[in-house]
Amino acid sequence: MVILRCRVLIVGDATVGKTSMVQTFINGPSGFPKNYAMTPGCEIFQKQVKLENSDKVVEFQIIDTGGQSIFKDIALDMFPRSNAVIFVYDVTSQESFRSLQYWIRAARDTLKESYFTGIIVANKTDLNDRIRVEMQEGASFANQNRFEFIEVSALKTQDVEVPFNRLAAIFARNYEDRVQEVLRFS
Amino acid sequence: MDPRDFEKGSRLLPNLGTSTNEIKEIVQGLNGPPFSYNLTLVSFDEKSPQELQELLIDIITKLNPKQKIDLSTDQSEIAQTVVEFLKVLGYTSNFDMEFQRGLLYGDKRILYPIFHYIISNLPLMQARAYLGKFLVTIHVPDEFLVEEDMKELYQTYKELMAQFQVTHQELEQVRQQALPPQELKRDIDQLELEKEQLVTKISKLKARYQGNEEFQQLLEATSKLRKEQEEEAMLVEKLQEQQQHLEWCEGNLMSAQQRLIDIKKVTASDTSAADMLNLLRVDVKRNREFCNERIGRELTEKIKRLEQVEQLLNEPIVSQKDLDGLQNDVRNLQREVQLLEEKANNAQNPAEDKLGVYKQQASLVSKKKEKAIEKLKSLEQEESKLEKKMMQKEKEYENVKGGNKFMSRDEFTKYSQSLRAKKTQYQQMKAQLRDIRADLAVLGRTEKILKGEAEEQIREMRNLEREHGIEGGFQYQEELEKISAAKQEIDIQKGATLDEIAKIVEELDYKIKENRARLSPLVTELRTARARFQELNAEYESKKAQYDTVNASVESDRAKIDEEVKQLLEETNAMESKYHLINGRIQLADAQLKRLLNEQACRNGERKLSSEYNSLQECYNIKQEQQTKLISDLRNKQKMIKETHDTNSRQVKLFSDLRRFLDLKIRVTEEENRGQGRALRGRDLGGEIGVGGVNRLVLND
Repeated sequence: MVILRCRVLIVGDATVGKTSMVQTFINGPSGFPKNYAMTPGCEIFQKQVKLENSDKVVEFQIIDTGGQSIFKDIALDMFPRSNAVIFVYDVTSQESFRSLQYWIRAARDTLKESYFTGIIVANKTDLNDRIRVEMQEGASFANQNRFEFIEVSALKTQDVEVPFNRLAAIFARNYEDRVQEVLRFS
Repeated sequence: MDPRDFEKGSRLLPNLGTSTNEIKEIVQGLNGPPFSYNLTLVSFDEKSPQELQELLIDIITKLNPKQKIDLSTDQSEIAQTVVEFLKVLGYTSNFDMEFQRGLLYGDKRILYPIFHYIISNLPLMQARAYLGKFLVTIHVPDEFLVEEDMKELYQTYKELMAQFQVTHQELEQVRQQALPPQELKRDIDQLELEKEQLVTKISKLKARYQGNEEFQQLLEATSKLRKEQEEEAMLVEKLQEQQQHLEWCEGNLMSAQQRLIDIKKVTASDTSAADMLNLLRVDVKRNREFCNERIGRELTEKIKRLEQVEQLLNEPIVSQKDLDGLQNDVRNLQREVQLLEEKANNAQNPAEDKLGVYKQQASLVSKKKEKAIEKLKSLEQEESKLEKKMMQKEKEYENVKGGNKFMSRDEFTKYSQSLRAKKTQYQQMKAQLRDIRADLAVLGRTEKILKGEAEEQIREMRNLEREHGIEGGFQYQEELEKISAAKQEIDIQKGATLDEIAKIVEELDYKIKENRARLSPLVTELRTARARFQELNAEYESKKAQYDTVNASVESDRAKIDEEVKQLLEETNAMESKYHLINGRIQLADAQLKRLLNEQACRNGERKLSSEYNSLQECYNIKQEQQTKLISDLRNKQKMIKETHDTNSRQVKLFSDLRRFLDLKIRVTEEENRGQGRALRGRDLGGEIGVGGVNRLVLND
């Protein structure tokens, strides 16, 4: 058994549902917080994901950042120590969607790499009648930035594990490529 | 070498250089003609040196009776003559003193090779001994040849020697060619025998038919018949001859007649000399023409062919394409020629009718001629082919024969000789066969007589039995004899089988004994091996048990350790995870600390957080103020909403109803404007609505 360790940073505006998503991913439907509690600074969690058709396990270290503007500096500090970033927006809030541009730029600036593993997640898809950002809009935006796009609902615990599974697969593939490269050179 | 020989040799002198086979050959030769000593190997071997010497001299005198050697004379003289004789025979040796001494003392080493040499080439030796006397030149010292008489004598001697040689050779040839007199004698004997047989046959026949009166007549008739038959054959032959002759004569006659007619033709008209001359001239001309025509044609043909060949040789290599083109041309030209010919025929026919006939005839004749020539050619070709074939066959024949094309004279003579020999042999065989046949007839006759006698005897026997009252006794006896013979046979067989069985049993016994002897050491070996095996097995068992116990304990230990390792591994993994988690927390804490330090610096006025705020605290405070204000605003809003919720919701309902009504109104008026007949009435909707532009609506409370 091989354990691959991957640190994921979760960013996005306040109240888009970052903590809800993380909690439901880790603890299942019961993890959904009943009341809103602002995340002060950052929280850190761990969860292992077994890869399909492989003996590899990806252990995620999930850093759930606080969305409030006053905690932004902590998030920015954690960017260079992460392997992947999940950008979250709220489908009922145009503003949260627009803010992603800022987050992406910040990530690119700090990581100094034009290409890094990132996934755009649209949360709160259960609120059908209050949707302000259409799915096509989000998908095309993700495509522009060459990120994957996934719609989830933390409340319904719908597809919350999908972004993490995708990340695990990509991470494992990159690891394999690197191993091959090293073998070729040695 | 025979060991016995070796023993004897060691007693006398070592007999080296002669193999036992050679000795055997010597003894055989001495026993055969012309010596016939009746020796055995042993008696020959046991001969004393003196005897051996005598034997040698005896052989020499037998070979050459004129060479007399007196044993009483001096030994060295004897040796000299013997050596000389051996030289004549062509025996190869150094003839030194030792050799002479060996001869004198009868040394086996010297004498045996001489014996062998003479015996193995006896006919040649005889010839040489005979010739040696005449051909070995008498050595005359040169000083004696100075004398005239002596010289002449010597010359004649030489001449005579040469003459002898020639004569001898001729004799040899004659001997070879001529049939040996013995064979001739045999032939004569045979012929005489045949004659005798024939005479006896005739006399027999005569005796048989002596008493018959008609014999004479019959004889006459048969002799006549034979004579007539012979005559008939002769006549048939003659007839054939005559017929052939007749044919030949007829042929002659025909040609003569032809000639006569020709001559008559010539002589029928004017028979002047000039005419005759003319005729002859014409003849000559015709012949010449014939010559010119035929030979000329052949010549032109040959020249043409030559030209063609030359052309072909000169021309560059023709490709398939060129060939096709040329063929096409040829075809075209042929077609043209045909057309032209047809045209020409059409054009000429009516005009020159008379001439045409002749032309036709001429062309026909020429065609015939050509055909005949072609035929001749083909026949010539065939002839040449056949000749070739014949040559081939001859060659083949030569190959088969392996020699000359035909038999040479010598070969032929040889062949005839062999033929003659075969013929005599054949005659002999034939005579033998005839004798045997005669014998067979005689024997058959005697057998028949004897059988008759036997039957008579049996009959007599039966009669006797009948007389004595023991009828059938003879038969019984016969049967008994048969049975006893059969029994004897069976007994013999039985004895043979018994012998065989006994032999087999003996063999088996022997084999068993042999095998037992062979097996006994093996059995003891096996026993020791078994004991050793048991020992080793016990040791093996104990070791195995030891091994098993040790193995079990080790296995359990290993399992335990495995378990432990597993646990530790899991623990390690957990710890590692924890470590990473903690590490992450530390990093977070670092970030927080950094923030804190930053904040501290800001508060001390060393730095500004951002353009808006001096420090984080300020920022917090402002944000808090904003939030509390927001909260109070929101609370007020909530309160207001709670208060006005019922009425407002009623209002909303009413207005939505009003909207529905108005929508309906719009639709109705639109319908009315479009089609008068199919207007919707207010009645239909459950209210009092006027028709045609009057808008009245009564709202019920």
